[in-house]
Amino acid sequence: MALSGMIDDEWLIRRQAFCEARIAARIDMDIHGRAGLVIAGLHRELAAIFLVQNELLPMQIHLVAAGKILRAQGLAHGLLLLGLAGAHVVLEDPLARTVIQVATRLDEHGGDDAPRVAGTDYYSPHQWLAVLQAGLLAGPADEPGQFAILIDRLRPQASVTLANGLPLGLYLDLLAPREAASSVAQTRWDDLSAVFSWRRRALRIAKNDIYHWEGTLDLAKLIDFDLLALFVCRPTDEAGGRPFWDQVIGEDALAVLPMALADRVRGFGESGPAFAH
Amino acid sequence: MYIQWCVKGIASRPGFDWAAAQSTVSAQHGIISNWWHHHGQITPADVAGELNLANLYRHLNDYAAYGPVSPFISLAAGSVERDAYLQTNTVHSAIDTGLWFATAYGTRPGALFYCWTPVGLNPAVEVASVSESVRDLDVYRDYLPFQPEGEITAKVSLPSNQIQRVEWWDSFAAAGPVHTFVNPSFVEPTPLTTLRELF
Repeated sequence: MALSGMIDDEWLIRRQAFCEARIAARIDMDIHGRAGLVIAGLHRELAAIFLVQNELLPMQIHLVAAGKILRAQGLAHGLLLLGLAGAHVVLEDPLARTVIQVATRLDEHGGDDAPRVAGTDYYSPHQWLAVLQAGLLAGPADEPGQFAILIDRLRPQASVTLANGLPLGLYLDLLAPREAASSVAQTRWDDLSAVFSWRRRALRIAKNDIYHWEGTLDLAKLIDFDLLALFVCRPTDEAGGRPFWDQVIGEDALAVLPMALADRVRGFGESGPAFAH
Repeated sequence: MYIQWCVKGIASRPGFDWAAAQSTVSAQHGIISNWWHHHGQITPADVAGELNLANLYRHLNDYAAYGPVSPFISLAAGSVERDAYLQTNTVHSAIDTGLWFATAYGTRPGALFYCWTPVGLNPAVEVASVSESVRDLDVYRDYLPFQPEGEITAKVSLPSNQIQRVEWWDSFAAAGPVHTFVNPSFVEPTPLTTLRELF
């Protein structure tokens, strides 16, 4: 999918140079502090820029850089970014293990030999979801295995809002359908349509604000790594033939962007990039 | 009310170069809103008529049309706290945001003003003396995710004694500013806080 005409190429080049310069300006800063989160955000934005330009190796490098920093800060979104780069470290990750343990023992009440794990971050639905996303990226989406407990814990949290504004319940029903299913398009078409509609509406409003659209577009948010992960895990073209968004043009092309870009990312990590660990 | 440190990026243009940026502080003009610029002279009654929620949303959502006459001033404060990070997966640096605006998205030189402003804990759009935290998830929830921008919105003007220093950047790719002017008339926000030092 070409983005010609939708995002100014010259703007993309300047934004890439900006992100690189701002990372370089922080070369001596401690990545474990707040500066690390800023650096990770810049790497993630660079990954988005390279992804839309179909430059997949630098995209992977920046996803890994962002993922490593976030993981070091105890933020499971880093595991998701690493998974998208093909570095499926979630299976051996201490943070993921602790999150799963917390979810497993959530109903225990006192008197237990093993003390309850403390720490808000381990109990955040957003952390649970990120571990689940990374887990499904690492293995077949229809066989969540050790991550199934996270699905059970997340189901009742349907009203939690994701970073992209979508309700968790809608997203989770697409990522991990309640019924046995092989394809999002076959089983959850209404929900999928809701995602498209939401993106169309948000983009239409955003583009009306010409000043900010032309100057301060956040490409990482436009790519939407949550939706990217969803469609990497659950391709919608399993019925055969080209996915319909290959034929989508004009205004709607940005609305289906994460779905279309997922095809570029899918399959990373079957061998795994050596630089990721 | 709390005190928020912020950065304001202003790109160069005819009539606004390093000398003018420095003069904003040294001549004690402060940063004035485009509305004030546009009218030349304003009165308290004029201010009361301009500060309302509808105009704030026009400033945030329709800057291309309304910005040139807006009484509001966008400031970057950076975001976010760790709890909010878990929901947004994003931390923006105020300096990065300010620099992107100050260089007109990487096309020309510009100024970064480092300043503080009092911010209301709740929306108080009509009160000129406090700024609004427009990106605070607890206050203004109906934001759009694609366009991070100024997190704080000041009103009408920002006094020069609240500006600690101004920097001039030739390019965002530079290692640092080419000029810096520290404001000798700067007033620390300490007197407004609840902290009292012992002596």
